Amino acid sequence: MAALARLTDPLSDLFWRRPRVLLVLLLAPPLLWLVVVYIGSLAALLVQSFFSIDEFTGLIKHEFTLKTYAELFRPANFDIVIRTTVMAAAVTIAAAIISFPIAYYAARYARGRMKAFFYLAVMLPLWSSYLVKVYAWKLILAKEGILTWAVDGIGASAVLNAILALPVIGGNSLSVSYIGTFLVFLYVWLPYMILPLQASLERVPQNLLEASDDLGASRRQTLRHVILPMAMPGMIAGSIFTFSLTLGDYIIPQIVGSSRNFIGQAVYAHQGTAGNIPLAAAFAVVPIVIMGFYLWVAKRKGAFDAL
Amino acid sequence: MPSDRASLGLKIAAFAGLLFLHLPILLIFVYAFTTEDRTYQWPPPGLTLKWFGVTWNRPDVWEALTLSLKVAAISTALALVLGTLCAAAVSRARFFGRETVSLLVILPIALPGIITGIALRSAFNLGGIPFSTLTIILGHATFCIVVVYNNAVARFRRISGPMLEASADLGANGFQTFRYIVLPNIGTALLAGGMLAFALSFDEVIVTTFTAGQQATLPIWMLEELVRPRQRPVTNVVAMMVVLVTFLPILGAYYLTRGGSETAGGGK
Amino acid sequence: MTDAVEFDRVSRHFGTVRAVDEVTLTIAESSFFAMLGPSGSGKTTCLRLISGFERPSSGHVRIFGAQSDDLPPNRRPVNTVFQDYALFPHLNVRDNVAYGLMVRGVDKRARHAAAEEMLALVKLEGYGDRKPAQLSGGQRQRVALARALVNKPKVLLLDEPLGALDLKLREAMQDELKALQQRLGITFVFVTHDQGEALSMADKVAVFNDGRIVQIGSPEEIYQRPRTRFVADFVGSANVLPPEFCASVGAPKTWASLRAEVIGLTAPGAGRIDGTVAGRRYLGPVNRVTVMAGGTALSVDLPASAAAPEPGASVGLTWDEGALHRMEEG
Repeated sequence: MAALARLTDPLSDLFWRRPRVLLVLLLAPPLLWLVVVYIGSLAALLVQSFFSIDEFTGLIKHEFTLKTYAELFRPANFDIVIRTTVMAAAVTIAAAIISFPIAYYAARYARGRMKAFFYLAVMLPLWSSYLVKVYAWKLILAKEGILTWAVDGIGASAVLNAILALPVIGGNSLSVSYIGTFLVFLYVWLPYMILPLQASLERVPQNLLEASDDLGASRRQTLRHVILPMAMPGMIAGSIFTFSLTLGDYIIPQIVGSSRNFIGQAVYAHQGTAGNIPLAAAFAVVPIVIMGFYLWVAKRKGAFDAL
Repeated sequence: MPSDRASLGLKIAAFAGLLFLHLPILLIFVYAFTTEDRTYQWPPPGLTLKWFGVTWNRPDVWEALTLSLKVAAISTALALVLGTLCAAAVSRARFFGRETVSLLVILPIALPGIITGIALRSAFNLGGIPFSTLTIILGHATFCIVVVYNNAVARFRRISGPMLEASADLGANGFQTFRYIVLPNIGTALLAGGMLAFALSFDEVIVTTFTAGQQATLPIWMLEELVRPRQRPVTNVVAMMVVLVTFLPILGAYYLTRGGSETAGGGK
Repeated sequence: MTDAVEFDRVSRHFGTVRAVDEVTLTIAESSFFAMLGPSGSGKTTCLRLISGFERPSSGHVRIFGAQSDDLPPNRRPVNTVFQDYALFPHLNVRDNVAYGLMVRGVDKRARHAAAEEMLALVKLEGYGDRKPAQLSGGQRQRVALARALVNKPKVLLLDEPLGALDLKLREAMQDELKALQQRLGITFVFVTHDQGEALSMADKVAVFNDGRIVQIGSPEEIYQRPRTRFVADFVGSANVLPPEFCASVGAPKTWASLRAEVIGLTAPGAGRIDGTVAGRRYLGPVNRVTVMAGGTALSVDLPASAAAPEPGASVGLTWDEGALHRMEEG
């Protein structure tokens, strides 16, 4: 080993004399990879979005134009953008509400084994297969599935039917309604909200709560004025995930939901069967722009410290 | 002191939330044993083990599984090298553009998968690159880097500084310091990162649909079954196996990094 | 006798900050040398220039006559005891101590024997199998010492070696370090912001301020004849007297220092200057009386056995001719 070390000494000395050389050597492979493969691809995507498709031949015209972007604002396409954004917002808000008790309990009250239990109880669903989770919901929401069975069992089918009869969000069954899509989105992205929220709640010092207690605040006041503001960065960090993931997903609405498209489905359809790569690219730029704006706001609120 | 006990409402809400997270997955386990083979009927009319045997004898499932394992293994290896290098650079020096590097690493997972997918597809189209196992790996390795990076960078931070100086001071050259000090200290973090990267790649479907061409990884096989169910019982069994297979690396990664502040997996 | 370490107009700049500014100094072989100063005064950077973790922006550092500017830390005949010890957490105590020998290719049996020998020297026999996390602060410090000494360095550098220890342990370690240095005959260079530590252990002290050495000399010289106001203030327990005060007692109109224990109290009008007692503190061996005289507050140390005047009392102050030590401004 020592003999080998003497062989590597000259290189080691060089790194000491010129630390930048080592830095460049370390950074070059990953940066080359990310820039060539990833940034290069994003650039290719962006370039394509400025091309257009010839309506007669169906071929891509390799000329700069904003025509494709203009198409996004046609009612049919714009509806897709609005629908997706509203869904992302609804999922995000619901995820924040359901996550809070879990994250709060895990951060404040769970100790020792209980803490490990909570951690794994969130991690395992987070990491278990996305498709399996979607599949599970297909099983649950199916007409002959467990949910209908359970609702019948407690004699609440009338309530379920009333909900399904609602305009827009209802449908023939849960598995072909917006409610179904919403439930699956909420389920699949929920852990992404819990983890950062819990991390930020862990950082609320215990003595701060005692101070608030001491100053005569009720539990509700402490929650409102001390805990919620301090949990905000975590909540925003979590919402970045839930929002972004919902914006870009095309599989969940395809499997559970009505026939109306979301952005992801539009991208997939246009690049696939329709062969309209420019429009698909332009659609794909929409979530980037929305997320860019979202991240900019989040950064100003200091959410990145909680990631 | 009243604030030291959780209120009943909070407890119920917390545990109800956990149940919501877990019941659907448990349901998969029951369906794997159902005798019903054409609908998703609940409760199952009967239980049987025969679908395990049927699944075992399906060559398409085996092919998809083999491809998925191959892709996950190679992507993980690439991500381990690239993610570790990047973490080493970012943690050892402050340099111009350091924040940009971190952002660049996180971007492939921060942006929706469909964007990564179609971006790669556009690039392959423009570059005239035919779809192959390699194109799948290119995509997977790109978003797996961040998982390794996140695990490694936290550990690197913990050992950088005085410990590395102490090693040099005692006569070790840079390579010896890496071998005897850095590697033993980041080893478990790398293993954990590698396991998580493997799980991530093994499970990935969105990017893969854009880069796979006609090939089917296991998730793509499942997706086809989801869109056009033909083999419900086989799908049920595969789903259960996938859950079990992904749980192992997650639990492994958890136990490897437990006790540190940087427990693995938070940054999927 | 060769010089162990020599700084030849060495500067180290970080951007616009001159951490070390044109320092020239020599450290004699086998001496116990202290670099004393407040934080940010450049003393630690000087230590790192010797160990090789910093390189001079200009000037040269020589170790035993050999120019070492281009020598990386791993090739310098110098070892360091780090401030927080920087023990390797994944290695046990024996392997920590043997580390320097291992990377030089010494075989396992020989290096473990040497490590055990060193552990015995620092009174840690039988601790070889423990992990650093299982040791107390004082024990970790000894391991760090053994780990450096096992390499038989020509110069041992100690960066605030006692800073993390409690008072009692610190005093015991001071004696031990001093004895160890005399026994081994190795040059010790240590950095500290604690003047008591520097004065009690070192043969020679360099006082740093703003990247420069303001005074270099034996502990007695530093303590009794501070060259500047800064040294007198930093080393402490001497009264710093402004020029006006000196002029009023018939001395040249310059800054001067006057040590608290050389001042005596007498009746008003019988001393060199009159004053009023402003306060009194019992410090064990002495009573420290604060006297306002000529617009300056002076500390006067009286033996605890002697009677101390009450606050408000008028007193005269006396001292021997020559006790008043002239200083430079700055």
